[in-house]
Amino acid sequence: MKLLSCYIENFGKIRGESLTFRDGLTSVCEKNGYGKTTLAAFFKAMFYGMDSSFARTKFNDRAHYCPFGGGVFGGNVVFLYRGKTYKIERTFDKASETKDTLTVYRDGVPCTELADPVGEAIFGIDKASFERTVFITAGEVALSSTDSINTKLNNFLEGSDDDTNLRAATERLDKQIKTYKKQKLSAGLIQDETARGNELKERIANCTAIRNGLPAKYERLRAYEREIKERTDAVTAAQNENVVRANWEHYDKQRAEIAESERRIAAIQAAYPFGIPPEEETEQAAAYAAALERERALAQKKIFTEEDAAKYAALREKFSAGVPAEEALTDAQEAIGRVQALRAEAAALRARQDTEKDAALRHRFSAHAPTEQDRAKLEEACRRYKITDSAYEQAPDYLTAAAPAPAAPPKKAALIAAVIAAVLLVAGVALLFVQLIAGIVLLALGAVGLLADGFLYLNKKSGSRAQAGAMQTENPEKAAIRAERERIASEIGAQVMPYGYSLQNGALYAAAAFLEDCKEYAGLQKKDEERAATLAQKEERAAAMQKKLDAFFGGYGAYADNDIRRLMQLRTDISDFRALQKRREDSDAAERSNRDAMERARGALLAYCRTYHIAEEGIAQRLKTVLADGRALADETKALQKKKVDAATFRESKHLTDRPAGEAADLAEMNGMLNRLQDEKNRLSQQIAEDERDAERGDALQNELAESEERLAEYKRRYSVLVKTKEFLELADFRLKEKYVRPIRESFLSYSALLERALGETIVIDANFNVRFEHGGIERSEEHLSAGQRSICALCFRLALIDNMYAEEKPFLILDDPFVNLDGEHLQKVKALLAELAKNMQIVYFSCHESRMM
Amino acid sequence: MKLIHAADIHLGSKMDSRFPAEIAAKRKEELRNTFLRMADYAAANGVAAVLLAGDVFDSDMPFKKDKDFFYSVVKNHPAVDFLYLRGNHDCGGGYEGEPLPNLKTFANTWTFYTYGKVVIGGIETDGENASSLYSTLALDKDACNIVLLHGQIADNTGKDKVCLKKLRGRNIDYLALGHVHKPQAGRLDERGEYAYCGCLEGRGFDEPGPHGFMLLEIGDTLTRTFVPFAEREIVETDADITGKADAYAAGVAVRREVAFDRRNLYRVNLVGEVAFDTESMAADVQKYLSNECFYISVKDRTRRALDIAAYEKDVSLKGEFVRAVYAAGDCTEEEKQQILRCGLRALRGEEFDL
Repeated sequence: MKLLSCYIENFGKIRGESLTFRDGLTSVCEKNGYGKTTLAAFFKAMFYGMDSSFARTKFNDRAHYCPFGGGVFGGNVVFLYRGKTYKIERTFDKASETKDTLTVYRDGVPCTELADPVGEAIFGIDKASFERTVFITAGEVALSSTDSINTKLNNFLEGSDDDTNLRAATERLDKQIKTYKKQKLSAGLIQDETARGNELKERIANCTAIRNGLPAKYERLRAYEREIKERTDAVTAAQNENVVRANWEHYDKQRAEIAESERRIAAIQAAYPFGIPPEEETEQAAAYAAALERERALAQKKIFTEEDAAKYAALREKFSAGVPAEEALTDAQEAIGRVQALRAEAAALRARQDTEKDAALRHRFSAHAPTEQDRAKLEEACRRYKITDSAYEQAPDYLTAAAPAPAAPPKKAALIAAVIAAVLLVAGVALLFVQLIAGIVLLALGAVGLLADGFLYLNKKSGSRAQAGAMQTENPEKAAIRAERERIASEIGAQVMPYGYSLQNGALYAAAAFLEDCKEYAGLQKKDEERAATLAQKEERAAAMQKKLDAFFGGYGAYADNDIRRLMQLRTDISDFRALQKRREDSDAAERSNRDAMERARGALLAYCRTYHIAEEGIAQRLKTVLADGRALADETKALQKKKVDAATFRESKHLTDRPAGEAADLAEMNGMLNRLQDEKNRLSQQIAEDERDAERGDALQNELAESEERLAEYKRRYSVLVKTKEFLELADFRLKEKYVRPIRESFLSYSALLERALGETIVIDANFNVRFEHGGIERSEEHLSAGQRSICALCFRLALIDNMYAEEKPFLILDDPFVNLDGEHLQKVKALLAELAKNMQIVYFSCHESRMM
Repeated sequence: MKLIHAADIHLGSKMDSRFPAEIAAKRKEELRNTFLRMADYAAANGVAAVLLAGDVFDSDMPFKKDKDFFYSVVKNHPAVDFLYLRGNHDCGGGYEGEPLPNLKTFANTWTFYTYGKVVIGGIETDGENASSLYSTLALDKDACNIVLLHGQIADNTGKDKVCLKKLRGRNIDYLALGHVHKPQAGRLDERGEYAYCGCLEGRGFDEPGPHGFMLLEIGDTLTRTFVPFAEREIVETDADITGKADAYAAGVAVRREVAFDRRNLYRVNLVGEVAFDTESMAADVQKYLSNECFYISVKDRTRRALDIAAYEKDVSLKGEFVRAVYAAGDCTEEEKQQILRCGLRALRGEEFDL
């Protein structure tokens, strides 16, 4: 395959550039920054395209060489392949390869025989391999003599410099393999899982053994159940027999009770040879006996005692003339009230006390009451005084005035009111003994009336008094008048002052007071007289009525200290008399009834006793006994009947035909044995349950074992995969060596033979690609080679690779100034080598210095 | 008249080892409860008899507690007869307690029970009667004849086998079979049919699908209806997660494809093609979907897409390795996938999860 030309539209910083290539060696000398590396990348992109550029990808060729200035990103390359001229035209999208365009022309006509990637179709290797073989730069020519062939080859082929190589891979695999199986230590997951499986098998075997032991236990359990059933039946039978025995005992007891009842009945009947009286009759006789006793007791009790009789006799004596009627009593009561009222009035009259004024009047005038003449004289004096005084008043300076005489208070109305109030008081007092409430009401009314009358009377009297006043003037006439007046005043004073009046307030005042008092005193005296008359009248009347009352009460021998008591006593006597009278009548009737009842009871009892030949003495107690015996006999007879029926029924219901023989079974011992058996059975059941649980765990263990075996199989599978992976990797490595290393080595040796002339040394390379040279018959390490010599060795290595990796079409070779380390002499030798190589290979040589141009 | 045909209860059976311990324990409990529910159903719906065609227990030596449970159920449903034919797994399930009037058993000779015009017969097969039982069967053609047997349908006779052709033409209206855990039915002859009622509850992922019993209604004719009665159904299904790069996306895809029922147990096989170096998503998908149902198990059955052609021209140890593995004749496809994944990750210096 030969490059003919290329046109770079826009690729990196190369724009609109055309290059033509010839056979053999094409040398291009351009300064630094020309874009030699860009050109190399362009060729790669033409033949293999470019990967898409995404945000997360590395800064790849597409991103790197996308032209900043825009324009068509791409170009074309024309080359000769299998005798035909092909042209590859590509344009690239700035990001995605899906938008790239590719057209392949063959002899100017688009064709499809070279599918993308075109480079693979032509060279038979992928892009990475192409890149690593076709381009040789200054930095890629160094060989390290310490790298193994795999590292060399693989790193070269893989394009990596790090330790991702076979050795590292196998180390990782070995590490993984050892986790599954450590050869020397007998450890690892496989070993562990195998041990676990064995342990599970042992445990399962135990569970199986337990399970296998269960049938025997089931059989024992069934045996226990059978025996327990048998013994339970025996116990049941024994219990049933015991029940029958108990029933017979019960029946025997019933029979005994029947016999006892019959005995008791016979005993009772024996006590009554003539037959036991019927209960009804006995009860009746008992009732008669009780009645007789009651009547006797009643007879002992007197309703009408001797005391009552005496009292009754006395009262009858008292009322021999007849019991006073109620009307008479009422009249007497009224009379008593009237007498009391009169006496009260009289007492009131007598008890009437003078007022202070009256007392004062009496005190003044009791010794010597002023006569009519005295009063007239005084009045005259007062008249003259008044005249004098008036004259005095009328005199220029002084006047004299005299107050009018006050009016006398209405004494008669007050007196009548007082009498009425007094009557009410007395009536109230009298009624208190008969009608309490009415008496209180009257008393209250009387008291209120008296108080009101007194209040009103005193109020009017005080109001009737007038206050006298006089004024005097002094003048000569007045003085005479005054003197006259004073003389008259003295005269007045002489009259009144003995009675205790003073002229302090004036003569007229004193005279008026005196006269007033005289009038009052006169009135007082008149009152006294009237009162005395009234009093006498009342007393007379009271005495007369009292006399009547005395006569009335005396007829009945009522001699209490006052009439009311006498009346009460009389009423009491009358009531007692009537009550005693009634009681006596009742007593007589009761006695008659009592006698009759006693006769009847006695008769009935006699008849009963005769009929049943029962002694009369102590009949009441006897009757109780008969009654008790009768009831007992009836009860016993009834009970006997019931007992017989019960016994017969019991026997029939319990089917008591044959009495069990022998002794009763020892149920306690039988139950004890049964309980022991039950306990043993329960223990066995518990064991069986535990065994079943343990045996059931065997199922879970089986599952665990299955899982363990699955895991073991899995571990073994993985182990097998890992081992095989390692084996295949080693196989691949061996084949790689076989496929590439030997021919590469042979090619290298053939190229290095050329280099012997160039290098002046005999270069050898061993199977591990360690480069050595012979010097003085001794192989030396390539480290002794100079840098330039080593770069030539690297070139030979690349050439050897190209020889072997490109099956048919050899590619061109692009050398990007790889010989910067060579001196002039060696450079010349390399030139000769390249010239030799260029005979069979198209070489494009770039350099930035003319001295290194080929 | 109504009858229930049930079989293969397998009381006391251990559950699938792939169930977690607590799920297995719960399923065991549900198995017992379903049997009890069936008895309640029979009593509530006027079923005259429950025909148990074998394997009521899971072992020749069933636990006492399992036997006690079974007989307790029988005892507590006195209105329903239980016709109990022992199978190959419950030879030791015989009853030794007090007589139960509603428990009818069979023996190694033909035993018949009559319910009006319906005659129900059965025989417990063993080595001594496996071949002769067919010739000793005699049924009245005028009766409605139901026969109970436990075994696998076969063309020949033998222990635990049921030779259908030898039962044809023997006036059987319904052949009630036990032994096969999946319900199925077919024609026996012109007159009658046979049916396996299946087991009452699936015990593992090898027993998917609906489970229950057959309800027989006998009037002028005999009609059979399968009654799904299991507490839960076991479902196994594939879910294509082609192209899904992570467990979440795979979980979403599974949810879309599978109509989950919270009561059921699921085995989901992840199928399809995913990127070559995708980590196994089974464990994570199982976690994501654990709340969708009673229990779920997810298995990774996906293919890893590896474009071998891409490696044909790869001149490297990697390419050589890929070509060497693919060319290996002593490895299965799955093994090759795993070796490739492991090796390529190792070469890249990445962790590799097998």
